[in-house]
Amino acid sequence: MVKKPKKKNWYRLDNTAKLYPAITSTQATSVFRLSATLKKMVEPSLLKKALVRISKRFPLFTVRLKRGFFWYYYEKTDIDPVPEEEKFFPCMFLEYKKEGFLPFRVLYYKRKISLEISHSITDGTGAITFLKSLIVEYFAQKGVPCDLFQGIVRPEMPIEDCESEDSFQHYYKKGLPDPPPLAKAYKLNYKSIPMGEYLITTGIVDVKNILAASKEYTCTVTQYFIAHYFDTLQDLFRLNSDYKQLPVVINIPVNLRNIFPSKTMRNFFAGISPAIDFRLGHYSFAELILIAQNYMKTAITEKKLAQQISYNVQQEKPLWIRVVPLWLKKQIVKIVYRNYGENRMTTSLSNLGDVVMPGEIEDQIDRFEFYPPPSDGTMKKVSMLSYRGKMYISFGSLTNDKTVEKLFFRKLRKAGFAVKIESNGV
Amino acid sequence: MPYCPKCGVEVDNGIINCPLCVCEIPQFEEDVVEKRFPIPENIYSNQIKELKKQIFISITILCFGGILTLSSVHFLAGIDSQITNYGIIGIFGTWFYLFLFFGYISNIYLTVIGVGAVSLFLILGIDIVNPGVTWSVDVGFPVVVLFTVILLCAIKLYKRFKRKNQYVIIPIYIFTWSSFFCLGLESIIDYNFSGEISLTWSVIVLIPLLSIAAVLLGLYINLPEKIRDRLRRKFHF
Repeated sequence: MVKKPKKKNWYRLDNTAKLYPAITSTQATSVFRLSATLKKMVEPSLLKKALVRISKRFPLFTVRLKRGFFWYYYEKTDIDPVPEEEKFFPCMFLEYKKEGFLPFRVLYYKRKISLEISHSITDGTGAITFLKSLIVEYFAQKGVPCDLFQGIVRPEMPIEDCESEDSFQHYYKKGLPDPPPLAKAYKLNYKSIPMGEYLITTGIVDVKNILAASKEYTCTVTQYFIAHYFDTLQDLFRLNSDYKQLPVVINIPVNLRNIFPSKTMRNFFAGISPAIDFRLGHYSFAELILIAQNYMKTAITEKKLAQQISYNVQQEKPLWIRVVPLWLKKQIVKIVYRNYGENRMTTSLSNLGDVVMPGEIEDQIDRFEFYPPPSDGTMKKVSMLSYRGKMYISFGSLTNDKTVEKLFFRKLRKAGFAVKIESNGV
Repeated sequence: MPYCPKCGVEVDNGIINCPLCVCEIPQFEEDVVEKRFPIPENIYSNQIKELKKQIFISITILCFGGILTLSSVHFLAGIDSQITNYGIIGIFGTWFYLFLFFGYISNIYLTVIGVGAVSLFLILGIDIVNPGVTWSVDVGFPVVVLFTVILLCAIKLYKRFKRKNQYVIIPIYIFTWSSFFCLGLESIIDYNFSGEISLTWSVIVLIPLLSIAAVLLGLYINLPEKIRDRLRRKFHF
């Protein structure tokens, strides 16, 4: 009798995921939110059924973080996720190290379904695939089935091995030279709000207007917003002239699946960091666009990103690093991240792109939103996505000071865009 | 749809202040708009309350166990030692202190008075257990009352003081009130042991402490807002 190969019920954390359990705290939770607002009220019982069915198709997400002697690892769990009614601030800490907790939660509030997920399990692409699949399954439970659609996973689809691939290891090339080190960045220095609070300010603009403006400058939407954000920070930099002045650096996560043919549901992104030193003088918007364009063109290439992947993976490869016990490794990672990660960026901007849903249900969904994870090191982060002609730009903030948001959206208004502002009312 | 007159951005119906600049939004329509967010609760405040409760219950059980053990030793085993009596009084005192420090009485003045009362109970207990100790009424009581009164005055004044940079004001208060407390302490000790008050060391303590407090206060009040802001930024915790 041929013995069936025993199914592995645990897996290693990918290269980026290894960072998060060490740096996660009650303020910097590493939890981001994707939400979909429907046209009708959410039915919790149907959402629960849909969630249980769809989570079985995403075994990578139904796991529990466990401590090994040298590294953390994820162990599969049989817990069925249960949607909860939203009552706390967004992106709060997930207790996924504890028994009975998963590294994600699904929330509902009136017409809105939200997925809050730890970055240690997946990135924006993996999370949006999960949320879209959940919404499709929810509508299927309501009696509105959809045909197969790209970017949507159905519960009956077989699980492919490539979904659980650690693409960082797969595309790691040994022996590539290290990328040049980044300099210290200008920091947004504000008084924090109390632990357990997180402020969201969302601006809604028409995509066609943004596209027209981008076309005028012959750049992409992301490049346009990078330039716009730099312009905002330029104004802020001038306002806070007494601060220690350093280059302004915006960290931009790049989806590596667009460059390397990967279908992984785990993290597969790299951060690039365009920087501008405003001590050199005032930059016009056209100059900022040019800088963003040139930087993106040179940074988002297979060679440069392979170098970035190799550099990141190399950090965990040496034997002397691997044999350091986890408790000590965690402390070292914290210090290294604070000094060489967080201190090297002023803020971050993440664009998840256009969200497309199957034609059968797209009319029944009002909008999608994307909230960045809170970070006490950067204080403010921006994330954006678009759905059916509207772009949703969300600032996540750990301070009551809204100068950056005010400058950003007023500038958009001044540039001729109609902007609608919403916030979580605090 | 309403617009913010300052920012020019559109906001939802029923929004009273602009989410960006807090400018008042003119209200023309009475459309009821569905809320996009619940009134958010802080996830941690409940957790912290729960944790505090658990810790306090554990401590109470431990204290109860300790008192029960010591009482058994005292009454059942018939061992009448000063140590068991001190133990019982100490555990009672500790429990009351923790009850106050855990913030179960929300009024700060009552908490301070409570701490004073527990301290009086403790020193009186020490006096009763050991007949050789007789200083509780003459020295202990006045010192505890003095400390409690000084602390109450300091809190009252701190609350009324308009400039509330805690990183500067709290050290000033500590220096000032400590120096007054030293004066009172030396007076009580002197009066009880030599029958007259002749101040020595408390004056030596008082002069530098008051000088430092005065310099700090002067600097703080006269410091330009920019430097004060920088100090706040650098030393906040």
